[in-house]
Amino acid sequence: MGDYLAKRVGQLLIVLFGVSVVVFVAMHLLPGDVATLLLGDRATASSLGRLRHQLGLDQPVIVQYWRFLKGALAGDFGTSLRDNRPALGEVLAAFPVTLELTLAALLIAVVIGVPAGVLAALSEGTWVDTAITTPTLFGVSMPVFWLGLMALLLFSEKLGWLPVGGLMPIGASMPRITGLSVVDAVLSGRLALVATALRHLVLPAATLATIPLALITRITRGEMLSSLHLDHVRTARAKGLPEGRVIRAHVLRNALIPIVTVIGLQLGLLLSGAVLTETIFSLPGLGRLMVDAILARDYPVVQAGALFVAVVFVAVNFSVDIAYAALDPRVRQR
Amino acid sequence: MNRELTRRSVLLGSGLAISGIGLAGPARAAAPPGTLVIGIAADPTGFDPEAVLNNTSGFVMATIYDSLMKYRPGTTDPIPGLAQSYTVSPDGLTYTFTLRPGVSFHDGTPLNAKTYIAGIDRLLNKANPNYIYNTGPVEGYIDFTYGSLASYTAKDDKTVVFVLKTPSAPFLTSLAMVWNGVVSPAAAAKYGKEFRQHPVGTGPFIFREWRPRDAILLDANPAYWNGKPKVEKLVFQEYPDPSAGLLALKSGDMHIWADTNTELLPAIHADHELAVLTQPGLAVSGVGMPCDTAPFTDVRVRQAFNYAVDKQAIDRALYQGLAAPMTSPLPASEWSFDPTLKGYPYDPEKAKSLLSAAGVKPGFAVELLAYNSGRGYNPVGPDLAVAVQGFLQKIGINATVRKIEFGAYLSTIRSAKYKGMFLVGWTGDNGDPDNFLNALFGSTNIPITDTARYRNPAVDAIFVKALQSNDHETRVRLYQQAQSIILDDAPWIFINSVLQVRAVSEQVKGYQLNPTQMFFDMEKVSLS
Repeated sequence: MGDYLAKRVGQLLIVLFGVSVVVFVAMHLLPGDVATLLLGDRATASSLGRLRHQLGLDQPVIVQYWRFLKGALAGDFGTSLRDNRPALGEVLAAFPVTLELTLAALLIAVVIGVPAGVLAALSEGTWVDTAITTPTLFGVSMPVFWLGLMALLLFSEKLGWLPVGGLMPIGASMPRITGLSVVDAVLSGRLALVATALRHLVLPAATLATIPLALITRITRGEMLSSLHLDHVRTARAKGLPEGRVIRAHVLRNALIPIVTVIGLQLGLLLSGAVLTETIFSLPGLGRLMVDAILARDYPVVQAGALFVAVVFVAVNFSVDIAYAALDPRVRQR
Repeated sequence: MNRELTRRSVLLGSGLAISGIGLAGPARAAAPPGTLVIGIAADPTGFDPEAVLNNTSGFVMATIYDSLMKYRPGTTDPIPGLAQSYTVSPDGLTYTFTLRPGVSFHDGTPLNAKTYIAGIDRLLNKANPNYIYNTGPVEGYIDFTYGSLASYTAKDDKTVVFVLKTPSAPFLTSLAMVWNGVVSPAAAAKYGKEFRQHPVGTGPFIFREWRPRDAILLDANPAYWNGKPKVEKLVFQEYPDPSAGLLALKSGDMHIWADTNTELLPAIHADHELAVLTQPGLAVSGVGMPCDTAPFTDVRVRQAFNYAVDKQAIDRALYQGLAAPMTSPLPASEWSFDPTLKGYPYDPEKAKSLLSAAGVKPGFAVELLAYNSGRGYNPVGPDLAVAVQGFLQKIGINATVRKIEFGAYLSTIRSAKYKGMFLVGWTGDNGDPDNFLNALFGSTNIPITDTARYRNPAVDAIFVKALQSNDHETRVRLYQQAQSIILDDAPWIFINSVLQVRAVSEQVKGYQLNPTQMFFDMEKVSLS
């Protein structure tokens, strides 16, 4: 296990180095520089020169990268070129919002998707199967921004049940401890706050859940179906095992490995790609931070964000591997 | 591009759908009572007025800070603000301001000549321990405002004296800008690099909290010198998605939409509880022609291009009528705008005859460079270039539109070597005509802001005279002369001046737009 961990950490370092180089080069290849963007139409040669110097952009690219690398190794990712705040701090402040949104979405997707997929597989070819698989097609093909807007229209505007986006009610100050608003509300011990936080979370989470929900349902159904026809399942049935046990221990368990892979991949994707949902529901998450930073050519924030997401991705993959081991004894023995 | 268009049409569609469903919706009252909510589309970058430079930051800062001068509500005429009165010496070099008595910053620091000068010293004196350039990047208007300053002194407890090196009549107007808001020197010293996140001024609202990409919360300043604000709290709430912004406005979560999306105007108009405020904007937009490059060296060619483009049609088709054709190089919101000038009417025949007189053959090819995104002075971005290309085609000119990213576009047109035509525009900084005419058409500003490389000694001479004059009437007359000459010389195809458009809830009373787009005089706004 120790060797295995060391190997994974080594891989992580290589990935991070690669990501930092790619991001750095890509950001510097993009046309337009941040000083011009900040000063806009009224930039003069001297004001541009001074601002570039202040931002360190007048140094050769390789020197800029070396400075970044030195800082990053010491945990200092520099300050945002846009608003002069510590870059890593901005990422860490935005991440809990995205994390909470993602976990809630995945929870919805797994809790509904896996049983729905199982049910569809067991009722293959019946109206139940059709009733489950048809909406999943919509789920994977619906653009998130449209779905989110329609959800807002229905639940906020027409029915008035839920707020029009945002993390908390207008003008309110809620306690910020972990940055996960539901967790913070629970920690504060005030039930009303928990309800408020949940009311603000449910629409964006449900919107974000549609694609993973559809995918998980379809994969579960497909994997269940192929497992159902395997030899060991026939053997289990022939031994006279109760059907429920056959399904749980021999079919579902076998089918779970690809499902866990998909969940892991979706988790990684959602963590880095919730930008549309965050935009429609006005949530201050990592996706919006990254898009704003890229548009503003805010290198330090883009770097800190990209490296952070890379670490999260690797960590998620690592957890998925551990989950494999738990699910599949063959992986453990290897 | 196609995807963006699709998304835009979907947005528009959803906006229309929203308007339909809204009629059946529940009663609105979402924001807490006594709280005025202004919707913004982007995140501000900080609130040190001299260090940051973007509209959203300005929106917020206009409610936290006051300046020595202020704008007469709804205009860009400078009137006394934190200064109770002022005098200008006959040579136009010495400005003496008497400060308003009894005013304090939100942190309790009194406003007097000493604290005011300490704030100026922070901007201009390298040896000052709180020198602003040591707190991070500075994008602001320090050079612009104080570039011609020889000295700044506190004469006594309530008198401040500025001496300029050369006369500069716009100095007063510049002092009214939100970017010259007066900051508490004690707070600037206390917070240092983090002052940008902890603004302290003398304005009608007191900063409480900034949650990045979410909201900025402010409390009313009960001791405000110009009257206690009529609401208890002010919130700037971010809605990055325009349709979500519209929903917030309709549901009562938002009262004033600072960044109203004009594509959603049909939906806004359909709601009886919403109103749309408009005002001539402090902006111009057109197509620059390189005046030092043949055939644009010939004024007939430049005039022909002006006659060739139907600005009315462009305003209707691309801007939903929310723009006015330019009849002068100045926008109508400027105080020296000459209403007697008529601009260039659409006359393709005249354009053709001018071109043939100038010896330009049909089939003449030229590049038309465009920035690839919307700008404040031109929300449709490169679509304008495509429209102009179509009109030029009709008089036999083959313009090729090339769209590039804004930063690359700026460096190209400012290279002083670019031979093609290009989209060009300007938003006024302080509201002074010098800031339009001289910036865009004064030869000392070639090639940075006079990107058409237009050079006319007669016009340059007028600019110098107008800068030196402190008589309002004289300045108006001089700038009107300049407008007429520049219009005839036609360094740009003068296209249009977009209107400032903001949607507000009917609940909002006493709110008035300002051409600078900033939220001035917000203490007068109430909710019914």
